[in-house]
Amino acid sequence: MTPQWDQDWWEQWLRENAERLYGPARREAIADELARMAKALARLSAEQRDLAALPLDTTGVDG
Amino acid sequence: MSHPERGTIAETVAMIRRGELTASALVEQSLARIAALEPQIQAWALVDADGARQAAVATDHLAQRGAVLPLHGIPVGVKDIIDVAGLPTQAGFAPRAHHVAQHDAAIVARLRALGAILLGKTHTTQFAFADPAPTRNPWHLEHTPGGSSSGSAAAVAARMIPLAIGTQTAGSVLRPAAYCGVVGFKPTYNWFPLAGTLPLAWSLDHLGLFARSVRDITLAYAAICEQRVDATGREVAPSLVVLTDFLDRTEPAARQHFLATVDQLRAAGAHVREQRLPIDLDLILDVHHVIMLTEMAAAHWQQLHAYPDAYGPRLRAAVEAGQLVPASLALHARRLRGEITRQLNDLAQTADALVLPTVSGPAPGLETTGDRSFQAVWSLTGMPSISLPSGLSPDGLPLGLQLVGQRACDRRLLHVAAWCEQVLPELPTPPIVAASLAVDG
Repeated sequence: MTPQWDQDWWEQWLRENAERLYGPARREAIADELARMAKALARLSAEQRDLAALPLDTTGVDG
Repeated sequence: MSHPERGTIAETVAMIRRGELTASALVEQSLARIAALEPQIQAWALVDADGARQAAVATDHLAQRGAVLPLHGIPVGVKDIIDVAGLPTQAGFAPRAHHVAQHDAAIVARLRALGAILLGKTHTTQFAFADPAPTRNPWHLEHTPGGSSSGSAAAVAARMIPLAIGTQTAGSVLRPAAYCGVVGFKPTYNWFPLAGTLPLAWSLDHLGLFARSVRDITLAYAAICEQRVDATGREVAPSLVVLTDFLDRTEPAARQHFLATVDQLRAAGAHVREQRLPIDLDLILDVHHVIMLTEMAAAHWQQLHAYPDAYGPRLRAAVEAGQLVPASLALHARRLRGEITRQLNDLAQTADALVLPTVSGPAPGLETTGDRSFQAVWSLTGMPSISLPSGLSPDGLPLGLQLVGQRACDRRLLHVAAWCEQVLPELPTPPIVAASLAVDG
């Protein structure tokens, strides 16, 4: 994860891939959802927790 | 004529045991309530009157032989993403209109074994996501009942049935319970098998219960789990931790109401302290969002490709966005969930329950099912949560108090909820429901 992967970067990335997969009309139709997801991905990207200290999720929420 | 729609489930079953009431009479009363109010409330995707009547007759024969079961003759509604053999599981999705279930879902089979009568399927938002169902809020028809278990909450609030089953992936049991002024309980993740229930996001999906009181919820939960749970509540006042992060996001009138409710609990003897969450709430909600949408994408992408125009706009957008998430970040979210769950469960161990408003404000209009952020945290962590009606907003809509317990400590949470329920004032009956009951005499 790198700090430059901010919300704008993710929104651009999602929009480009949405257009490639679904076309420009769908990309615009889901623009709000892409913006919401970009915000979430930016926060997860910026998460500075020590990854090695996080247990792997192997069994879902019951793990 | 008796009025079991005004009593508890335990009282109703006791009346059957004493021979003062029959399952057939209960079913007819429920069908009459539905006939009176369904045109306005639209809680039901399908009412199986014939099936319910036949089941009631068989159940009455059992009672005549002295066999009275824990939920004997209690009419139940199940959310229409849960299979009932012989009925369609439509999930609010037109292409499934004729998809008749061959088998009962595990929870339905369990309810039947306990003597409950399956009255029909309650409306859900499409596949239990966020495109509103046709259901209206019994307290005000121009407001949402919440979702996704819209019909289950509304049917209980309208006194059509005393017990309903729903599911929660973000806030789909507790939020509609709060908006409709009933009790909603989401036990610990995986408390009962989800077999026969359509998935939305399988690592977040929980079965949940709706009823008019904690006592009814406790009786049903204990029967379903085959556990002994005392429904009378604690004698000793509980210790409660108010989670202040959520108050920053609560509408002013609802915040004032919540603080007054906590003052009532404190005055009754509860030991209350305030605390902030140990992890940023926005991070928690984003982790939930990423896990939910990626699992939704995995569950729906093939069907979306086959029936794109049959999908509701919110669900379609969410599935399409979920498909775009890089796998490394989806897995990162799952690792973060482990840490979030550990820290929040540790916090829950420091008291009898965590406390927060169930919803950020009263039910909004019909264009939405409301804000899931106050309930989704506990779907992410799998911790048990329950919503109790705590009063009415200035414009006469219900508000809820949310209690959260440690994972696998569901009974303890129910005891705390029963104590709180005794302190809080009882809600009146929704006006249109009260008017209908008055006509019935």
